[in-house]
Amino acid sequence: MPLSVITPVLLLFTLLGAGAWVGLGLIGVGIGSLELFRNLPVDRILAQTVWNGLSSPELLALPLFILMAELLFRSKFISGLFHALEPWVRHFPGGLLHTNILGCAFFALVSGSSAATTSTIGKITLTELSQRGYPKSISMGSLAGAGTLGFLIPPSIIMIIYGVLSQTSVLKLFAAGIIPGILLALLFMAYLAVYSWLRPFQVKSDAAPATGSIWRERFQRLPVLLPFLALMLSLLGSMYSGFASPSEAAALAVIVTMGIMALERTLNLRNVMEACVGAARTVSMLGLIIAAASFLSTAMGYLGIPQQISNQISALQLSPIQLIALLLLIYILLGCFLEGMSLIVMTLPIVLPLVVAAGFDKVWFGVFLIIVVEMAQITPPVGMNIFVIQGLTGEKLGTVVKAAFPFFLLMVAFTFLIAFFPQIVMFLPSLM
Amino acid sequence: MWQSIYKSADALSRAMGWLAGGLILLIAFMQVIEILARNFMGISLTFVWEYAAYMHIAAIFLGLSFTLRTGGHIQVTLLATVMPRFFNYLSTIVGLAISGYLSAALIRLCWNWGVTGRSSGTVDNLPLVYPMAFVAFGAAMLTLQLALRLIHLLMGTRVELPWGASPLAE
Repeated sequence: MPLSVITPVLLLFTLLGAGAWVGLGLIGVGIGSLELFRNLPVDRILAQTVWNGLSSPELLALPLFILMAELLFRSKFISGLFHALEPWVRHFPGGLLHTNILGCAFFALVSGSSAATTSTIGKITLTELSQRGYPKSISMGSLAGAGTLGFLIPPSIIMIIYGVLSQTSVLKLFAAGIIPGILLALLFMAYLAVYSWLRPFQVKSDAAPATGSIWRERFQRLPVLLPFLALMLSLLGSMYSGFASPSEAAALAVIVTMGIMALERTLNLRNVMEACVGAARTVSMLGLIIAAASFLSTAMGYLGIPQQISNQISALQLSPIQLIALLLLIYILLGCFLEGMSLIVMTLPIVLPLVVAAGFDKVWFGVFLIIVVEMAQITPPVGMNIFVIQGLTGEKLGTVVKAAFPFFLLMVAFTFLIAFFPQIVMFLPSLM
Repeated sequence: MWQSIYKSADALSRAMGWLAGGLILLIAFMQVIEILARNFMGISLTFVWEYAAYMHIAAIFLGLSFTLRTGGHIQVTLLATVMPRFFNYLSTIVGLAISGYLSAALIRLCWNWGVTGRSSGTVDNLPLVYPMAFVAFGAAMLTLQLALRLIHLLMGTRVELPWGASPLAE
């Protein structure tokens, strides 16, 4: 392999290993590689790429979805969610463990972040489940797995970034995530049911009403979800009806969230200001990484790296499924050490041309990549969801990892399912 | 002396963080006005997209130094568990060098756009030096905070300030 390919990889591991912040580290790799191997005005290329990469109007949905989630976190909606879901799952095998899955799936519908979903839902469900005597291990594991749905179920921050970097329709990506998101949630729920059947556990009585009044209780608690439904309708309805673009829908959702907060009397200056600054922090962190990814991608283009790696892999003459299996293995290994966002932005310039050449659709690959990134959230030693749960429970890293492992395996199986049946992903986008 | 320097830098970074947050909220309001005007009055406010995009890039860079100071940027921290002190120094020096290069590149581009009068080429034809000035200033503040971080490490003062008000913080 030529030096111009090996050096950037070495630089990458050296800089990130040295602890350079991911955004700055990636920029460093680009600068170092171009300065070493090409005689170009690197500073001019860097500044222009940063400007071009970040001034794209398609990226506008990102800060707005983040602001919406920040506002929502300060509303009363989350505590109401557990209360509303509880009577619906109480009698299922696995009982209230399903609130982890359903809570995360519902929250994912309005939040684009996996760590935020895990943290927000976990704060409520882990306490409730522990008080009712549910085993800690399966409570933590199901939360770790379900928390990752935040990336897959639209709106998803990582999908917006993938869409912008790969020049794929964000609207189609959002649509593509719906069926896999629902199926993955159902797969997790089926696992919980089988787990509780094979390893029955005793829980304290949930003070369930007589069978006749169960349905009354279920419907009595549903109005708690009304503000959430209003938000979801304004968000998804405006996007898919053509009333607004994804970023306009996100703006609309910010205003609807503020309206909901006003109705429940949680809208005050302190909450709004904190949400805005919280959003600014996340937007800055993500923005620097996106800028770095744009620059790294340009630098790799100048060095001809995607082409060279593409040629090497083509020489292996892998079938499309073998290629996906190889990529899955590489991503799982990288995902152990890298956070999801970094994983996508670093590898996309090399991997995307390969999979497109192998005949895979960019929308399909986006969903595949997002499921793989979800796995990275729960693989040690660097897994955001694991860190969040560790922070919430105070348990050892190994204990949380062990609890999450079955859900990791379910996700691996699910990636093969979508590889063999791409219609699962492509059905909804094909209708658009 | 040292205290007044870093406290001034922190205050400026915080103010820039607030401004960045305000800009994001403003983008939301502008977009909603555009949706309503377009769908109900048949008027398209064409400048909204352009200005919103500039406000977004400005918000990203204005928030960089505050995010660094409050530990919001992502790092691979494997080395930190083995040699925390060495890790802190090494990451700060590496980060400072790269941030310095980035800042210099952005300041130079901003200067060029100011001198050449480069504009957006849209209906409003906004001179691009204005949004670019926020970008360059934000990057320069990030470099300053990284330089101060190095001094914090040497002086034994706090490298990062607490920020617990955000669910998306980590």
